[in-house]
Amino acid sequence: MRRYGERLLAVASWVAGLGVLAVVAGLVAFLASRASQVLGVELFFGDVAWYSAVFGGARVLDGIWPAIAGTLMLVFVAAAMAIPLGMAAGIYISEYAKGRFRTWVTLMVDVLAGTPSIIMGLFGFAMILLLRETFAPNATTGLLLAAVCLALLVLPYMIRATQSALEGLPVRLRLLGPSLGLSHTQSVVRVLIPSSSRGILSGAVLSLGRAAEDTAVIMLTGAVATAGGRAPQSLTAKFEALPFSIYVTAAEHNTVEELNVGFAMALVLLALTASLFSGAFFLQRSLERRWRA
Amino acid sequence: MESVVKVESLSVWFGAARVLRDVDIEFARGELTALIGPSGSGKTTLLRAVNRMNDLFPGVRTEGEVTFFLNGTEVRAYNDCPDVASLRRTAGMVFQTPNVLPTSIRQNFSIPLRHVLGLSKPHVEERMEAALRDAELWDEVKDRLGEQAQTLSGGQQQRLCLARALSLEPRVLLLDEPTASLDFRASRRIENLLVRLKERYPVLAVSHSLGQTSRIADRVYVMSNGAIVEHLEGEELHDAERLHRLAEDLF
Ligand SMILES: Nc1ncnc2c1ncn2[C@@H]1O[C@H](COP(=O)(O)OP(=O)(O)O)[C@@H](O)[C@H]1O
Ligand SMILES: [Mg+2]
Repeated sequence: MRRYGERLLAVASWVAGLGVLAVVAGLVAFLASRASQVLGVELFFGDVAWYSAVFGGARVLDGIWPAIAGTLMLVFVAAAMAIPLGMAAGIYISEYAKGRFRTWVTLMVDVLAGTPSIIMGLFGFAMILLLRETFAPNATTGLLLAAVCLALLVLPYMIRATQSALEGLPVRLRLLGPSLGLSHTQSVVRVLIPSSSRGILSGAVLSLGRAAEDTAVIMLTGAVATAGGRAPQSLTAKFEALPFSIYVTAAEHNTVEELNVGFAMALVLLALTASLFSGAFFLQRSLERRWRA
Repeated sequence: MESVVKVESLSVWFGAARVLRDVDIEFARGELTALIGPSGSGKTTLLRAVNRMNDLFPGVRTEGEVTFFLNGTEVRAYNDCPDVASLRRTAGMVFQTPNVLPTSIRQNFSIPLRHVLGLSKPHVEERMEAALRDAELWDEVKDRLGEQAQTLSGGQQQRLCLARALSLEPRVLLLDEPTASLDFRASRRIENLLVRLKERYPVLAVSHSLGQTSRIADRVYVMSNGAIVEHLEGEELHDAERLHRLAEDLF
């Protein structure tokens, strides 16, 4: 009987694993088949030459380039805030915070992690209203505000990942640095953080992906359907972004071809996050190799 | 006997549990002092009390004093210790299971040497070589210093840990059952090394075997339930009958 149960469990695990693969493959295949009907240089840049769009600032009025550039900038600015801050907070909670204060900080991170993204968007929107009525009457929604709200959204992932990577290290590694005469901070910087870099990386990957796909936050903080056909020109400018454009296309398309453009954007978004992930992956690997060599 | 470290009325609590009870021991220049006793009797805790490693665990409380006598100066480990990190460097520690950094063999030396002692690269290489020779490991690793330390055998890793401790020029050595995870030959090799090293460094070693203790120790403290219950030195260590009785009591 026990044998039978074990075998069943093994089969179920295999099926579950293969199931994940099948679902992902099916999704990508579906997107690719719909996207393939519109995929081409015109999809990205319309009838403008790509170099004059990317480097010359030419306006792309019927291509998805502005949305790609918008998403890239958004993710970049949000990650530049959330990743260092989240790492620092995770390190602080795991290695420095003590007692009741630590419990409180951990609770606050939980609250932040549980905040729906639409609330984060509303928060950004309300901030602008408040700023307008007080000391910045010209404040308006835009790229920076959206990035700040996105950073807030992904911050808890980064904190959690860093914290649990550090707390998961074996006790023997925690004892090693001090036993050699390293100070606590030296041990954290030279031994513990490098040893947990893979866990920290997974937090960064999760954060990048989450920041790239979120729609609710940017909808309320400065994303627009058409932003003049160019990449965002400043940190306060309104911007296009892939998830929002996908949402608008899905909601308002008139022809099948327009909808296919939406699927193509989804595929591009997927490819974009995949390349962000591999960028993070290679960065972590090369840092780790430098430490281990 | 010329004491180098003196432990006086030392008690340690982990939370509410009292793990060491009024322990007094001392260990001296030119000697290997062994701690033996059943598992859970507090040997590791006593060893870690000497260089204040217990402080790294939450909820620990220590009473009593550990005094180092170094070149005519007294350094107290607990009451007004000027600098715990440098106190820990004074004591070279080797753990029960080989505790290498998950880096290359070279990095295992250069991380502490550069960041604890502030040595430059050429000095790191010099120290590393000297320490590896001291631990009789140089010939085995000199062509593979860039390889991961974890690819070495258990015995080699343990000698690497010993070499790493030696490279920091400690004043005493604290060893926690350094041969417990090794096979017979690797153990013997480390024992012989210790017999040689004890001439230069006072050694306090936890041991899991009476046989090993009588082979290499000059002084033995027997622990039970967090207290020292017996103290043997000199000829007593070769008194077969007494050892036999001890073994029956202990294990
Ligand atoms: N970090 C710790 N936290 C709580 N209890 C501990 C800790 N370390 C050791 N102890 C307890 O202290 C007692 C002595 O342990 P230890 O010093 O490791 O004994 P030994 O090395 O002789 O086997 C044991 O009962 C053990 O459970
Ligand atoms: Mg022990």
